[in-house]
Formats: sequence, structure tokens, C-alpha cells
Amino acid sequence: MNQSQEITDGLLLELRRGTITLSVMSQLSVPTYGYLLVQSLEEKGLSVEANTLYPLLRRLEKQNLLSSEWETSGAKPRKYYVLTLLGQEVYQQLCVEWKRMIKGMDTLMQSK
Amino acid sequence: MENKQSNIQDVTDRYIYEVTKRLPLSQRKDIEQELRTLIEDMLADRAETPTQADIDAVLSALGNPSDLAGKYADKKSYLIGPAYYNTYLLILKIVLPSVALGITVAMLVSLFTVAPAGIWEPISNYFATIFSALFQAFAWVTIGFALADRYNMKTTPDTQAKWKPRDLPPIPQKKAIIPKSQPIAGMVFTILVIILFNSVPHLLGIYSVDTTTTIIPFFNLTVLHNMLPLLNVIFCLGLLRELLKLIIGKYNLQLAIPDMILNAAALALTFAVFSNTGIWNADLVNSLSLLGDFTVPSGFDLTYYLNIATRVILGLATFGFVVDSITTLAKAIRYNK
Repeated sequence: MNQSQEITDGLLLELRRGTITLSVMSQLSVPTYGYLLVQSLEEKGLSVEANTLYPLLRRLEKQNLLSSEWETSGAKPRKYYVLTLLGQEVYQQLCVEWKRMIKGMDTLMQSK
Repeated sequence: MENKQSNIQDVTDRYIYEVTKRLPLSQRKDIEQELRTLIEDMLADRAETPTQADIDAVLSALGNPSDLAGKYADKKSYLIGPAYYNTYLLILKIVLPSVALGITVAMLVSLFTVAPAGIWEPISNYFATIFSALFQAFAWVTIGFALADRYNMKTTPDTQAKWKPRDLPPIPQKKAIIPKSQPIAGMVFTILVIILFNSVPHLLGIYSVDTTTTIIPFFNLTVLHNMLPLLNVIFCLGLLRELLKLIIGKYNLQLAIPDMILNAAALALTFAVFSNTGIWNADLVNSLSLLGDFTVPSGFDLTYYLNIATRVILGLATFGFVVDSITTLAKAIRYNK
């Protein structure tokens, strides 16, 4: 059964990759910094590795979905990210589509 | 304690350096700071006083520096992407044969200005030149497309008109397809003829094998030499014709019309070349009789027979070109209702 596990893992990886952006955006309605995001996603059961998350945040910022600011007042300088107006719009739309997809999936899985 | 701290600092610095050195200058400082804080956070998470083992674990989790740098970079990991690749191949298919053709013509022209020492020098020279020229052409086309892909320029074929099913060309009937072997054989043969006429025209003649082998050439070598540019043009027209058959690959009007034009031009030039009866070796008969193979009957008029030979050659050439033109055109019409 090793083969089926491998294939399953591979397909799951693809599946998870598709949902990372949405899961990240869901946590950024308030300013958050990278590592805090890693931890909170982990707690909520959707773990994203730091080496995936950080480049992703940068990319989303480049697309104007996020804006960032360096917070230098604390002990260590931290880069805080938050959804822009555009980001909020896009996120809302994605949520609607996501719910639609879930419903469709459920129907597919139940029917033969 | 201090040693351990500086050790951790050292490893961290090395890691960050390895990652950021692969990144564009504008992003470096920002990412460096980001990573430093991240590593500190991850260490603090593991232990209040992190050890060597802790930093190793943290950096291992972050992964290979080049992989991490790769993730930060804009994802392109190919030289020429799918949007441009097909056009790239097409251009290569046109440029490389053209370069080969051009070099061939150039080499031929230069061959008749400087008399070669033997057959092997010009031949090896030719192959060396053509090899390096083809490589250069390949490099330039590839670089051109790699740059175009990088700076995301639109190439006309791929992005302009949206593909419509109506645009599909009809499937060529089996008989309408020209098997690649034909034009390729034609081109190889023509190139050999070119080399023959340019390097060793004296091999075309009557062979007399005795104690030594003597060749009495058919052609007057000096006149032939002067006619070479014209002859080479004729041969190149032939090459071009075969090249068209190769690229177009099937009988259609797009092939038939250039085919006729090339044939007509080649035929006209052939007439021009052979209109000069001086091209023949006037000493042919005398040389033969000197060899003792032959006694000249009295009243033998060489010129008369040479004229006949000329007419025969011109007739054959006309026949050849006309037949090719007509069959190509006929097939083009028949298979393209």
C-alpha cells in the first residue's frame, strides 16, 4: 500500500497548495507578522511552512492584495502585513466562490 | 555562553548571506531583515537559550538556501516558455537552413576567387565554417527568444488573432504530402554537384586508363571558371527549390508558384551559360587522338558535334525544369480542391 500512500500524499499536496492563499488572506484582516501567522494557522489546523509563507506574503503584496509596514518600536523589527482594500474585495469574492465549490463538492461526493 | 551565541550568530549570518546573494539587490535588505527576525522567533520558540542543535534544526526547517531563494524569486524556471517555444522552433527551422545555404553560397563564391590547393582543404574548410555558423545562428535565435520571454514581449503569431476552428487548414491528402527524403536527397545531390563544379571540374571528362590515368575534360576549364558565378546561381536556385519543398511539405499553390519561378530563372541562366560554345574543350578531339585511342577521320567537324551536345543539354534542362514545374502545379491543383 506504499504506492497508494505516495500518490495520495502527492495529490493532497496539490490540493493544499491551492488553498494556501485563501487561508492566509483569511487571517490578514488585521495587521499580522509572518511568524505569528505561521503559528496561528498551525493552531487552526492549516499548517503552512515559513519558507512557503514568507515568499507568498511578498508575492501577494506585489499584487497589491496586501500592504506591509516595518514595526521598529519593539525589541526586534517586524514586518506587518494586512489586506488592502483591493485585497478585501478579492477575499470576499473568493469566499463566495469557495462556499459554492464546497457545496458542489459535497453533492459530487454524495452522488454516484 | 558567548561562544555559543557567536556561533549561532555566525551560522545565521552565513545562511542569510547564502539566501540573499541569489536575490535581486532591491529586495536584499528587506528579506535579510525579515529572515533574521524569523530565525530569532523560531529559535525563541524552541528554547530560551538556544543551542547549536536548535539553530541547526531551525535552519534545516527553513531549507536549502538556494531553494528558499528560488521561492522568493519570480517563479520562472525555464529559458523559453510555452508561449514562445513554438515560434522559436519555427524560426529556427527557417534560420538554420538559410544560414547553411548562405554559407554554402559564400564559400562557393570565395572558392573561385582563390584557387584551392586540393579537394580536401576546401571541403574541411566548408564543414568547419558551416558548423560554427550554424552554432552561432542557433545561439542568437535562442538568446533572442530567451530575452523576449523574460521581458514578456508579444510575438505576433501567438497572441494576436484568437484561434478559430474555421482557421484549420484542410488535411493534405497522402499523395499531396512530399516525403522529406525527396527534397533532402535533392539538396544533398545539388550540393555535391556544386562542390564538383567548383573544386574539381577537371574530373568531368573522358577517362583514359593506361600506365597513368589521364582525364580529358569535357569543359574548357578557364571558360568554365569564369562561368562559375552563373553556374553557382543556377545550383543555388535548385537548392532553394528543394528547400521550399522541404519546408512547405505538401503540394499546394504556395509551393507551385515559387517552384515555377525558380525553375524558369534557372532555365534562363542555363541557356545563358551554354550559349557560350567556348565552354567546351576545343582540344577534346585532338587530345584524344594524341593518346592514341582514336584517329580523327578527315573532315571531322568538332564544332558541329559540340553544338549538338549543347542542344542536347539545353533540351534536357528544359525538359527537366518544365516537367518539375508542371507536375508540381498539377499536384497542387489536384490535391487542393
